[in-house]
Amino acid sequence: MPSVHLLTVHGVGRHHHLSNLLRTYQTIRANLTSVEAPSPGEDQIPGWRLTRFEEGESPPFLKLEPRVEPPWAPDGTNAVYLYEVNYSDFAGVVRQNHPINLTALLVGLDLVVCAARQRPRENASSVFGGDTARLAHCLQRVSGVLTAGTVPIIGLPSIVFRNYVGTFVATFTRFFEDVATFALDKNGEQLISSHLDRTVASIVSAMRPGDRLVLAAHSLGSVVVHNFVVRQWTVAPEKVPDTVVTFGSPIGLLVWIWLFLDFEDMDFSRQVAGGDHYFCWNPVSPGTGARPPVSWINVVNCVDPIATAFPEAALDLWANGPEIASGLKNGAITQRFFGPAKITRVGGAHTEYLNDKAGFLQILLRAAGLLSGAPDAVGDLRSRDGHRAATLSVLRTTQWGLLAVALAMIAVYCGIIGWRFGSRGTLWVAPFFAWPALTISTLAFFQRLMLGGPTKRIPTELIREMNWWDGASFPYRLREKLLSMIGRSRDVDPMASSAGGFLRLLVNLISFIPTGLAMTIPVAVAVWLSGKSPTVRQAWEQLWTFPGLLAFACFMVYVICCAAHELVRSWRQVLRILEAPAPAAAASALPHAAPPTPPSP
Amino acid sequence: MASGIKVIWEDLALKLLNDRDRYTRQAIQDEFRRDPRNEAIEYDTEQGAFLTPVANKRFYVVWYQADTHSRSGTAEPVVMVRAVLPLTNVNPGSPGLKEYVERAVKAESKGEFAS
Repeated sequence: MPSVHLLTVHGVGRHHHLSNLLRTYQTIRANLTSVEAPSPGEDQIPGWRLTRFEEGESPPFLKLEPRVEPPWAPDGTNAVYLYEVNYSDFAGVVRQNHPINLTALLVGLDLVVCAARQRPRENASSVFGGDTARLAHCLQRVSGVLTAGTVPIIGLPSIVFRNYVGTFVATFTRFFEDVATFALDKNGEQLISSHLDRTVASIVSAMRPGDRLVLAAHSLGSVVVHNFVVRQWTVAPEKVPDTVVTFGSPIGLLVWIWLFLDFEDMDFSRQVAGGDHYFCWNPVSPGTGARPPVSWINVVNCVDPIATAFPEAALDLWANGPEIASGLKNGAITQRFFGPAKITRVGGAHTEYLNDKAGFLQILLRAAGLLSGAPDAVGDLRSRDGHRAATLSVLRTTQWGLLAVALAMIAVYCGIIGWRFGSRGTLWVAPFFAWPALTISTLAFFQRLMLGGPTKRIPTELIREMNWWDGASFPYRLREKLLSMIGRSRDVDPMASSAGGFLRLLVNLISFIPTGLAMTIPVAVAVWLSGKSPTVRQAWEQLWTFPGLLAFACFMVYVICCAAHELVRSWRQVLRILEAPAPAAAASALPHAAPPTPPSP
Repeated sequence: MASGIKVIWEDLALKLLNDRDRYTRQAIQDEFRRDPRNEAIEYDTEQGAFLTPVANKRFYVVWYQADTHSRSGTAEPVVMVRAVLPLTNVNPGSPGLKEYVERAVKAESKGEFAS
């Protein structure tokens, strides 16, 4: 009887050797969300026993066998091998050897979004539907939040409260580093892809006829697996898995951004001229021909900001609809929608898939042959429309909640300052901070102005062509104009060293100025109303008192809530845009027919 | 909601059930009592024996149908539960299913009982 080989691929973040493998195994056997030692009743597969743990093999694996040998069946399973692909360690080494400045990365993204948004477009339609121009505005707002996110928003608390927010900052940093390592750094992408290729080749070489290969990939891991499947589909059918389970997958998100940034009018057959493309990857099939059908199941949790129920056409932009359909079992991706619609799960839903025993885990166990039944027979918790409605409902509550917390925090901040100065009138400053979009766009403006110069991907010439009257591009133009006036405007030399540590520190310190100024506005008003004027030494001493630190923490939470508010607002808007009928030009959005000649792999 | 069908657990079934933790015991009993025929597979047509998956298909209840006579003399259907087993790869129509269940019963009861 055949065996099933289940290979799990992790997402972004730090994952130790074996952690992904054991995490998958443990979550099948126990409830990992409980802090108590597991009881036998938590075991989802009591009929299976662990017979081997080969941690020294390459790849390491666990072997599971039935306690009692079942009768032969064509789709039966007499053994399940669990493997892991762990690229986390060497992705970290890649970034250690070649550090990427996170601020530069995010400001660079904002700049390239700005350039793409202002590129002339006609009939800009994509396989995703929706109004491209409006979606682009949402992307610009998100990139603006991220631009402001590094130094002015997260930078300050990460210094003062580093003992408490260090893990969050490290996760935030590692998230973008990993995405950049696979999507922007050709070296990183090739190393990770080679690692997956070798792992799959090792597994396939040990498989017997009739054995099945199942790939289960989370988050960025699904992008890595998608890239792998598309590359192998037409050229190495023996390596193509029988089943792919993607969960929390950003494939749709990344493919949309790829089309938007690197192609004219979102048209895959018309790549932007020149070689300065933003993405380094090219997840398209290298040829035509028969595609072994893959049973592809994509699972999306409610309020997972990364996950997308991407269309089949997004799997391989090079191929046309019938070609892609021929490579999918039943001609389509099976989309499944799970996860509780709760405000406490916003964002966190992205890492909760393996804990969903009744939903996602049922699919995984069936796909691996550990439970009887077809994986795609596991029903949704809610329909696609229900999922969208539930997400919008939770996000609306979240957005208002964030606004309320932001207002409360700024009120407490102004209140503490007013109390220290004996002037209640300081509270009247709070309404000036009541518009999160203004707060964040102000911080983003200064970040763009201070750091928004040309990059390896955006030349000076392109910045000069940007619109003066656009809120996002104005600071880039202004900076460029000012540098031109003093003769310091120049393109980036890709072979030159970046600015030294001292200069980076200086720029980061300057980046704090807008946040610092915003914090001093209530102080200035309090001084003006009370007539008391503390010395610098007195102000410094006040900062390190309990009320001073409390006020500081309140302002920090206020800025973070404003940023989160803007992200949630954009998320809601994207859902509404995708829900709305596409504009006339985009109504004809269809998978593109294959161009006449295949691109290089 | 209970199905209204009387369920009688035989000694072996009770022993195997009591080997499980209390949450699993409860889940199996409740779910089976609710509808013994839900997704039931007839694995032994001669004896009219069935397998019903319970608790997310983690376990299968092995049962057969019998009739008892009430005081008024009318025959009432009764579900007799023979065993509760953690089975894998249960495929309806599989030719070796009956032997598989027998082997599983023997293994689960440590050879004490044979189906």
